[in-house]
Formats: sequence, structure tokens, C-alpha cells
Amino acid sequence: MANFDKTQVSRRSVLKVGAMAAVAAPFVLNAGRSLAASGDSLSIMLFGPSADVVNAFKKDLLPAFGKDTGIEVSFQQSDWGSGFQKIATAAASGTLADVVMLGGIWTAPLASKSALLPIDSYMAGWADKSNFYDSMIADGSYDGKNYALPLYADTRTALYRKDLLSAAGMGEGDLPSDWDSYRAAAQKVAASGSSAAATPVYWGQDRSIGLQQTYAQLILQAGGSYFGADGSSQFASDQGVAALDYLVSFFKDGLANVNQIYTGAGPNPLVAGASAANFGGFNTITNARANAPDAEKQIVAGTPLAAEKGGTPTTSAWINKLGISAHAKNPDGAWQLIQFLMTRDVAEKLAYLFGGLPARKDLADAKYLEGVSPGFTAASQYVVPQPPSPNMLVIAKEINTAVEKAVRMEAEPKAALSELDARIDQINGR
Amino acid sequence: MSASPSRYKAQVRRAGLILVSPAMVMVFIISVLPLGVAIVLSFTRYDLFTAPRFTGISNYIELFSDPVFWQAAGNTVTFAVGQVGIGTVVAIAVALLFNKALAGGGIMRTLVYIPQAASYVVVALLWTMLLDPSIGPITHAVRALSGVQPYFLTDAHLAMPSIVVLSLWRNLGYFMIIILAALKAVPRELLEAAEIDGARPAERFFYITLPEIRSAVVFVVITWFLGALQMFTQSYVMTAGGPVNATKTLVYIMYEQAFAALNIGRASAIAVLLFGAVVVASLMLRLAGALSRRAA
Amino acid sequence: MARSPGGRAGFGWHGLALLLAALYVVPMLYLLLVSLTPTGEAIGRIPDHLDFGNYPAAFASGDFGIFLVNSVLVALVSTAMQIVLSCSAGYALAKLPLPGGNYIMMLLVALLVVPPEIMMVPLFLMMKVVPLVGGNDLWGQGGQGLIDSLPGLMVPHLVSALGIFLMRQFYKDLPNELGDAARVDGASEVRIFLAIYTPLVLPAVAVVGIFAFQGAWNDFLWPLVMTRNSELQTLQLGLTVFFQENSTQWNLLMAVVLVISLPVLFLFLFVQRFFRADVMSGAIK
Repeated sequence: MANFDKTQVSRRSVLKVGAMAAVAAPFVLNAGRSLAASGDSLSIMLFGPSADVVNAFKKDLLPAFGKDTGIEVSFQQSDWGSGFQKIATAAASGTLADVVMLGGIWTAPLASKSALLPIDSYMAGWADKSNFYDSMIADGSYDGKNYALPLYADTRTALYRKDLLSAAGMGEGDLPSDWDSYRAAAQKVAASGSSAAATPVYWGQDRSIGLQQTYAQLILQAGGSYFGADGSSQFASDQGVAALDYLVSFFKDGLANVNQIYTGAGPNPLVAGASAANFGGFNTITNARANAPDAEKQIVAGTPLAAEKGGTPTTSAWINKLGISAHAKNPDGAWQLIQFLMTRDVAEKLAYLFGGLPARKDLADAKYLEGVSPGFTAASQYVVPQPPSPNMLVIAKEINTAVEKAVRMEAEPKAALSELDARIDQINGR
Repeated sequence: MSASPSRYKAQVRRAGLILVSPAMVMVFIISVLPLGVAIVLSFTRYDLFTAPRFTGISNYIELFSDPVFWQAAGNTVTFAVGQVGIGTVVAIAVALLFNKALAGGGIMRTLVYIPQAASYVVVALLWTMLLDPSIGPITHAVRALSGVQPYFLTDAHLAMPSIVVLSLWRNLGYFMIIILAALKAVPRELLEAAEIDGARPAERFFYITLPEIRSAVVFVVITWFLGALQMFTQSYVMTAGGPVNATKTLVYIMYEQAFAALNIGRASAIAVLLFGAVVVASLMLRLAGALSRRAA
Repeated sequence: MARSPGGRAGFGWHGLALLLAALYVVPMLYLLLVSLTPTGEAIGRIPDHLDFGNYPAAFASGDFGIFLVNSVLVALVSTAMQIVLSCSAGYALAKLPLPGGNYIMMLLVALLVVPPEIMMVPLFLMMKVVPLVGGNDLWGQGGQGLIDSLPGLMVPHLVSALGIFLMRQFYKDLPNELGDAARVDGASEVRIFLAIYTPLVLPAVAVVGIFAFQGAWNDFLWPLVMTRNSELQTLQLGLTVFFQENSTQWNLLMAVVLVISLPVLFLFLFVQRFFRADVMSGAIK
């Protein structure tokens, strides 16, 4: 008969209980977290915010909002790189923040999965609505309903370095306006032997979809569009091929470099003076102010390019917005927060901190835009919206890969675009 | 004879079951069940938002007709074969080196082993800096020696080889120590007898040492290869799968499909295929190991 | 005159050894150098003074305090759990007659080759539908389950087939007589396991513990998949965010990289005496 050793039994049960307590403690701690989502609190999620933005929200805006309304807002942030993934999986598990920031092409993918709350009923009674650019409000709609409101616009245009252009014998009055003159200017910069501008033109190469965004502007300038009337992908159209041929020619002739990759922090190539020209937006100025203040006055914004001489300048804008999660437990409070962030003073501050153009018409003369090259705001009149698509995140990556292949001479433009069309049609389930 | 008397059988058996159950339950939950879930989901279309919809083998068909899948599979195999092929030879060579009496040998062994303490993230970030086009010392060295500016992580021909080299650098210590342990177990008398008989060092190595450490080498090759088939972190951190998909691996596209494209069904299919590849590879490698033992 | 099995090392061998050591020392020294370079100075040159303030500055620029707590909790609980499970199962498989013990061994050997990455997606979905946690109801619907939670981060590290395997090898090498004698003396099975056999394999326990800690501490993919909330991130994940948002601040990045590798490094060096040939060859068999 086994002799029960009492001390051993208790030691073993202590071990067992201890192990279980260690594993259970975090459960208990986390249980409290999910219970806290009540009507008196909200959460907001932002992407890629600079330290200034984070401080503005945490120390300034959210406490002010809390004092006004009694609603406490918790602040979440993430980087742009994994941003869409985070939103999608959070939405799928019903844990998305109440108010969420959306990138320029995110509305359709999220709305099509019912991850966002339609806000038409809220907008009906919104007095401030007329103060916003209609096109920007329309950019937040999908399938006839509105889902997101514009926070600020990253409107692109042709940017140049005054100093590097003048070293090549070009003044501010000689800024190119069409594809041919842009190329000629790049060749002049290359010929000027200015070692500072190692690569005349920076086309947005990065680890994400920078090249796709550049190509989007070029194909729109060529008069092309992503999808035909029947919804099939038509990047291999004449306009699409022309745009890609144009882009590739820069790399072929050494006017651009595939290895000039901007990782997203520090001065971008234009601000650093490594290139003389690129397609960029107002955040270039913000980038300069943060990294190389002397460069700011060297940056001049021209008009967006037209494909042909005398043609219509064309460009696009990536408008970052705010939307409400479909699972928000306090949608009314979320709407209040959005309204608050869109009021004139707050919107001005946010547009400045984020480095974009304001979405409000009455901020066209905002203080932070004073002294800045007028070309930035003037480009807004030439904006052509990009076509929305529920699969745009995946499609944008495919476009980027195809363009990468072409500029690295791994495929001929027409072949790369035909293959792209086939892949996109497959993604869209055609 | 050490059989426990029958009166203890019941209590011993009960103790055995109690002790082994918690671990087995966990193993089932963490390893066996997910595999089943992956297999089931690979036959569905599931985007996390709506319920999974059965679609038969369409995920597999789509994968097999997707050139990016084959590119990722090729990259994965290239990475594994490259790292393990070169790495095993290097590990044996380095182990031979450390098998000799060296001044400061213990310290050097520790040095080679230190990167094992670092995660792949840490090693990836360190090497991103070492290979940086403007500030990286390796870039500077190559430029000074050859006059050519290398772009290690953005050149489609250099990206994967760079990742192979840095992964090898990190893993060498672990596998080298295993082979070293096996080397130390080689009976000294065999080698001394051969030396007396006039065998040259190379002959001694190939005919005596190598067969003696064979099981260690087989272990190293199998473990290293199967581990290399799952490379993800280096691609994610250093190159985001680029340039132009040159560093995308199977685990990378599995992650992409699951969380960026929200195509859980296809991601599960990739997981199942990868699992199949791992099983096949391990069986083949074990077979090769057994055959080499027969041949010896 | 020492005779080592490999023979005496001459100049050539020493030279090679130095070269090898350099291949490892130079990057590490470079890391150290960069981490002490003051911000604003060119990276890669010898700076005119060393800035030790980089270290506190780097850690202040992220939520590294929270990341550290998360990493520590996940790693410690995982290590404890793995040790407990590996020892108990390893012992049972080695010393006690188990019905189906052979099948269990075959399963474990098969699982040794299955990489955790393969399990990532289905395990993620399973974590999402764990009933009665994270807002889920009895059927696991409606909430987020264990996603974005510390227990969720621990799950893949709670048990390891390799750990069980290793412990079994070591328990097996111990003589059965010890247990038999104790049984005759009337000791309970638990006492035999904990007080008699386990103390004899403590080196192996240490090895299992180290591997467990290292696996949990250095894990990147699982926290990447499981966390949305930046407060739940671990150090490795926080490091990549730091890199993406500050990717040209090499000096601060290298400081962080160095510090977060120290815990595992210290554990290695501390337990180095257990990493002997017999441990390794035992694993191979």
C-alpha cells in the first residue's frame, strides 16, 4: 500500500496551481479589457503618425474632445505598411477601433466587406458638409453610399529642385509642362554634370507601391484608365503602354535608377538633393522641414504634366480619410469625434501636421500654406480620381510588380502589362 | 531484470497517463488540430468576413497556375539548398578547425555561436545596415576592391544570395558544434593507425572521419534544410519579398495571402503544400542517409 | 606536448581561425560602434566621441517598456510550461509503461519536422474562436478570442516536441533500479518522478528551458500575426516598427538591437557548461 507522502502531494499541487495561475493571470487581466468597451469610451486608429501627430492627439485634441463630450478616446496607431492588414483582420473579428483612418484606396475594399458603417444618415444633417470639396467627399463613397470623410489630401504634382535646375541652365520660368519637355529637362540635368543630382528623376521607388502611384499618374496623363466599360482590366491599352514606355525610357537612359529606394524615413531623394525632379505632394515640404530645412526653399511645384504638348495637365490625389467601424458600439459618439476633427481649426492643424493639403475649401488660404510654392494647391484643379475597386490593395501590388519588372528591363512594357491584365482579371473573378 | 512487480502496475500506469496527458493535449491542440483545420480550409474560399464556402480543389489549381507561387517555391528551395549545401561544408570545415588545439579556441567557438542568441529580426536588421548602399562597410569594401557599387538588397541577382549568406552566418555556430561533438567522438586509434599506415590527411578525412561523423552530418543536413524551408523573417524585414518577388518564399506568400489578400483558403493550401514538401523532403533525406550508411 | 584528436594547429590553421573569428567579431564590433555614434554624425566612421545616451534615447522613442514586459511574460510562462510538460511527458514515455507509447513517439518524431509557420494561419483562426474569452460566447463567436492577448502570444510556445524528445532521451539513460527501489519503499509515483529522477537530469532541463526561452523571446511571425494593438507587441515586433519609422536612425536601432539580444545571450553563456558533447550527441541519437 503506497504510503502517502503528504509533503510531496502538497508540493505537487502547489506546482500545478502555480502553473495554472501563471497562465490564467493574463486571461483575467485581459477580460477586464474587453468589458471596458462601453458607451463612454471610443477608440481611434491612425497610421504612420509622426511624433508630432501623436502628441497633438494624445495631449491636445482627444482630451479637449473628452472635456466637451465626456467621452474618453483611446489612441491606437500602426505603420502604413501593415495598416490594411491590421484593419482587415480587426474588422473581421469585430475589434476594429471605432474611428479609423483610411488610406486613399482603402474605402472600396473595406466597404465591400461591410467593415465600415454607412454614414449617409449622419451626413444628411451635417451643416459643415458644404465646406468640403465635393470630389474629396465622393472619394469616400462606394456603391452609392458614403463611408468616409476626407481628412487631408496628398495631391501630387511635378516637383523640382530650383538649385539643381539652375545648375543645368533652367530657371523657374522654364518648368516643363509635358512629357517631352520633362525628359529634355532631365537630360539637361544629367548633362550638367552636377554630381549632387546623382539621378535626375526620382520616380517614387520604395518598398511599398510607390512606383504604382507614379504609374497611376502617368496612365491618367496619357488618357488611359484602369478598367474598361465592361470592368475588364486594360492596362495594356495603347495609353497604358505609352505611359509605361515613357517611364521605362528614363531608366534605360540612366535618368532614373532602380536602386534609388526611399525607405520612408529621413529626407526623401528630392529633399536630400539626390534628384532634381519627382512627382510628389505637399508632404515633401513637411519632410524637408523635419529633415533638411534649408532644402525647403529650393523646392518648387510646377503644374502636373500633360502627355502631349498643350494637353490638359492631369494628376491624382491620395486622400486620407476617417471612417466608422461597422461594429462600433457607439456610432453616434464616433460621428461626434469625426465632426470634431473636421472642424476648421482642428482640420487645419491636422492637415499641417500630416503634411497634406486641406480638404476644406475655407482652408485654401491656411497659414501653413503661406510662402509655399503655389503649385501645390494649384494642382488640385487637375485631379482625376482613381477608379475604386474592392480588390484594389491586391491590384495595386500587382501593378507595382509589373512596373518594377518593366523598369528593370526584365520584361517589355507591353508584355508586362498584358500579363498584368490577365492577373487582375483573375483577381476580379472574371 | 527490472520489471516492476504487478502490484505496482496499476499505479504506475495511472501515473504514466496523468503525466503524459497534459503534454499530449497541448501537442494535439497546437500541432495536430491546426493541420486538420488547414487541410479543411484549403478546400474553401474564406475571407474572414463571411463564412467559408466549399470550392473543392480550386485553390490548388489556382496556385499551380500562378507563376508567383512557382517563383516563391523556387526561391525557397534555392535558399534551402544554397544555405545548407554551402553551410554543411563550411560547418564541417570549421568543426575540423576547432577540433585542433587552438589558442583561444574556446573564445572563438563562443564568438561563432553568439548570433544564435539573436533573433532573425536582429540579424536581418544588422545585415541591412552592413549591406546598406551608402553606409554599409561591406558595400564599401566591395566598392574599394572592385570599383563596382553593389546594391545587395535591391539587385534582383544579389538579394537572395545576400540573405543566404547572412542566414548561414547566423546558423553556422549551432550546426558546427554538433559536428564538432561528433568529431570528438571519432576514435583516436583509427586515425593514428591510418597515419602510421601512411594515409594522407585528406584520405584520413574522407575514409575515416567522414563515415564516423555521418549521422551527425545527416542530422545537420536534415534539420538545417527543413528549417530553411520556412524562411520568412529575413524577406519580410529586409526586402519585402522584392525586388520583383526575388525573395518571396512560401511562408511569405502564405502570410501575404492570409493577411493582405484575405484569401485564407489559398493560404491554407500553401500551408498544406509546404507541409507535404517538408514531409517528402525529410523522408528523402532520411532515405539518403540510410542508403549512405548501407553503402559504407 | 598536447595531442588533440585533430592534431597540433600550425600557423595556417591559426590564421584561418583568426579569419573566421574576424568574420564574426567585425560585424559585432561594428554594431557596437554604430550604436555609440552620436546622432547627426556620419554612420560608419569613428565618431569623435561616444554617445552612451543613445541607449536611453532609443528606448524612450518607442513603447519599449511595454514591449519588454510583454516579451518577459510570454517568455517566462512559455519556458515554465515547456519545462513542466517536457519533463512530465518525457519521463512518462521513458520510464512508465504507456499504452500506445510507441504511437506517441512516432507522432512526436513526425512533429519534429513540422514547422510552426505552417500552423500559423489555422492556429490564428483557432485562437479567434476560443469560447468564453475575448468577448466570445459559448460557441466562440462574436469577439476576438485570444487574438491580441498575452495568452494568445504564448500558445505556440507552451509545448515542444523536441523538448519532450530530449527529456525522454535523458530519462531513458537513467537506471530503472532507482524507481523500483523507491516503489518498494512505498514512495508515490510523483515523488519518484520529482524527487528522484528529475534532479538527475537538471542539465537537460536547463537546455529545454533555454530553447524554450529563446524560441519565445525571438519569435517574430506569431506576434506579427496575433497583435493589432501596439500595446501587446513584443520586443522583436516593436523593433521592426522602430525600423520602419526611423529607418535611417541606425545608431538608435543598433542600440536596441544589441540590448534585446542580451537576455538570451546571457542565458547561453550562463548555461554553456551544459552544452557539452554528450548533450548534443544524445539529441542526435
